[in-house]
Amino acid sequence: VSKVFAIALGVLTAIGGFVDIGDLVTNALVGSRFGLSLAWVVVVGVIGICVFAEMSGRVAAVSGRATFDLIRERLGPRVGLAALVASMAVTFLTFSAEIGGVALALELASSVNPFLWIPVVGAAVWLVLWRVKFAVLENAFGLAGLALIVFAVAVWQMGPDWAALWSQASAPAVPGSESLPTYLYYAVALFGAAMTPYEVFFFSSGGVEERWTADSLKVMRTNVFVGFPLGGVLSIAIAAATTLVFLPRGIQVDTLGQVGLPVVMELGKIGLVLVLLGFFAATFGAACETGLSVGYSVAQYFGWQWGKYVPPLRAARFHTVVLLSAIAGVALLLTTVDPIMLTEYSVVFSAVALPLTYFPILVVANDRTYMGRHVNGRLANTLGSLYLVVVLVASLAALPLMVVTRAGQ
Amino acid sequence: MGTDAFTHDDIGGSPTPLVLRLLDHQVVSAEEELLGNVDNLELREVDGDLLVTGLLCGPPGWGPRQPGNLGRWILAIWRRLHPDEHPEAMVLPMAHVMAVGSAVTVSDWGAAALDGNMRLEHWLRAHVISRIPGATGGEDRLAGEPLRPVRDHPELRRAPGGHLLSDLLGARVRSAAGEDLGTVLDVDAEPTERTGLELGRLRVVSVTYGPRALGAELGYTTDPRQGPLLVAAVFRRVQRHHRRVLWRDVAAVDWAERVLTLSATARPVHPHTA
Repeated sequence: VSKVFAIALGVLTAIGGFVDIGDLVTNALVGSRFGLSLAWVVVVGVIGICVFAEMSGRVAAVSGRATFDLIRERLGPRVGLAALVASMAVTFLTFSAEIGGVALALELASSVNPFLWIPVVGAAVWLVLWRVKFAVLENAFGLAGLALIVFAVAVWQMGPDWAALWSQASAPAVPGSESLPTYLYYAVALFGAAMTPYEVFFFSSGGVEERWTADSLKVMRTNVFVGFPLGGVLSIAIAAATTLVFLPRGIQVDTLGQVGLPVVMELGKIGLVLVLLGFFAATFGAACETGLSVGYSVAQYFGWQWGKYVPPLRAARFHTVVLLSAIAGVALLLTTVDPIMLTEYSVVFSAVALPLTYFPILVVANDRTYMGRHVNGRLANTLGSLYLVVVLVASLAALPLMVVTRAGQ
Repeated sequence: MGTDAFTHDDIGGSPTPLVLRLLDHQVVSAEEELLGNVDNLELREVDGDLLVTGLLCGPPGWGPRQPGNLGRWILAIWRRLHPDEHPEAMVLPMAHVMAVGSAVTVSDWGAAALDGNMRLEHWLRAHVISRIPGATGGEDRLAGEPLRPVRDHPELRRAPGGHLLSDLLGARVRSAAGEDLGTVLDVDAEPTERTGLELGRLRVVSVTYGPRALGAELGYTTDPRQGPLLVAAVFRRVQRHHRRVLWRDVAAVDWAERVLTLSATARPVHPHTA
């Protein structure tokens, strides 16, 4: 029974942990402007993150090496340094955006100005990273993040024309009010939101922290192949909710309050409570994951002791990096930059930086000396190679599309 | 963890590509403390053989492998921040390397030496992290940490006349007739004095060179089984001019100019044919 419980817990936390500020904002925004015509990108992105996470989780379990460790090993110190700088910049932007997201959620709940919340949130995130055990962190926020299921409930309650929604999603077409480059730009953004590199840093480093072995592969795969797709369903539910409420009225979502509005309209007070809890848990949990991921990537590049499984004094450099990034993340937000805008940029840059981390993992998952009989099979390699092309195309297209569309305007 | 699974399958047997299997790998102790990366390797010429004699962790090993000014700055910053007036790089002798798998396992003494050489870690431990309430896990070490200066340990100093693997990687390769053949991409070595407990020094047996360095560390040059097919096909084409030549067919090494000259009888072959 305890094994079933462990698997269920892992799946549930994977669902709740999948959605972060990037998914919330991008899906809601895309729903309000493009309806469900971009839902296919979420499907592509979810399959992609499953392929990527399964490979890196498998490599971590079999070889005991986390993702950035291998990136340095296979790309060498020079290209590895470039990959480190790029992924750290993206993860740090995301980290800052998540802290901003928590502050915005707290503002919605308390009407206290978010700039008063930001330093408090930054300190709270750091305190959790400093003191709270890894498993507690993962489970508590993952489970609370499940409150976002209210989006699916709200869509159900609205009693939409399911056939119309399905035809929007299954036969995607650029809406008349939008141009093709803008449509593609948001396709890349949604893809980046689903396949953020930090998710894989966190997932594989967590595997090493929890001392996975080859025996853990079944549980790991269940978490990935059940949890992430259900997280993707949650993402589509968010897009569907804003599609139904905002698209007919021609309103573009650009605040966190608007993201939650459909739920509140449909479910009232209880909806408000759950949606705020969901926002808080999803962004706070992701803030912890991204904060740790910044430390993981630096420490793994240099070979420093990292992680929460050793006492802090044994990993002084790692904890210093985490502390500094928490301070810098708060400082960035206090420049009064809009956290929603920060989020939109972070998901696009995620797509830009993705190949640098995706490619080395694909290569190592094929290394027989490391992986033995757990080397990539035919399915993993077919999907892995296919996604290598997808990831490269998205990465190369992201910046030109950003320039052409003036960041999606 | 996984490292145990590899000790049976490590580089004890056939010649092993150093860049692919040793360089940039994680260094761990028997208790799986993370001690740094293999940032560079020390090479020494002994009786006509080129031996891998030790490994370097930290800025003195990693700096020279960064390009141009960046590399010089890293070394300059390391020297400036170092408490010694003339800081010396620490080289851990290969006799302290126990096993090479997905990580490089060193002896307890080697782990203590590497730990004593992590100055940034100790400085941050003493001056930053230990000041934060709730910092645990290092009290025993904060008092009287044995920070041995390298100069007190002749066995940890760089050998006079020794070289770094990074001096060899990227060196030009010329044929006996003087024709330019490309640059050194990987170096294969095998253990010569393995006792069972330790790996010991390695002897260089061959070098791989080629006109393009793109993706040389990924493993496609040396391992014909490396997948996936799509990527392997691309690299097979890019790397089709890569060649491997035995070290005894290298007639001369000019370390200052970083040029290898092959002998007239050298028979270079594609790495996959060997």
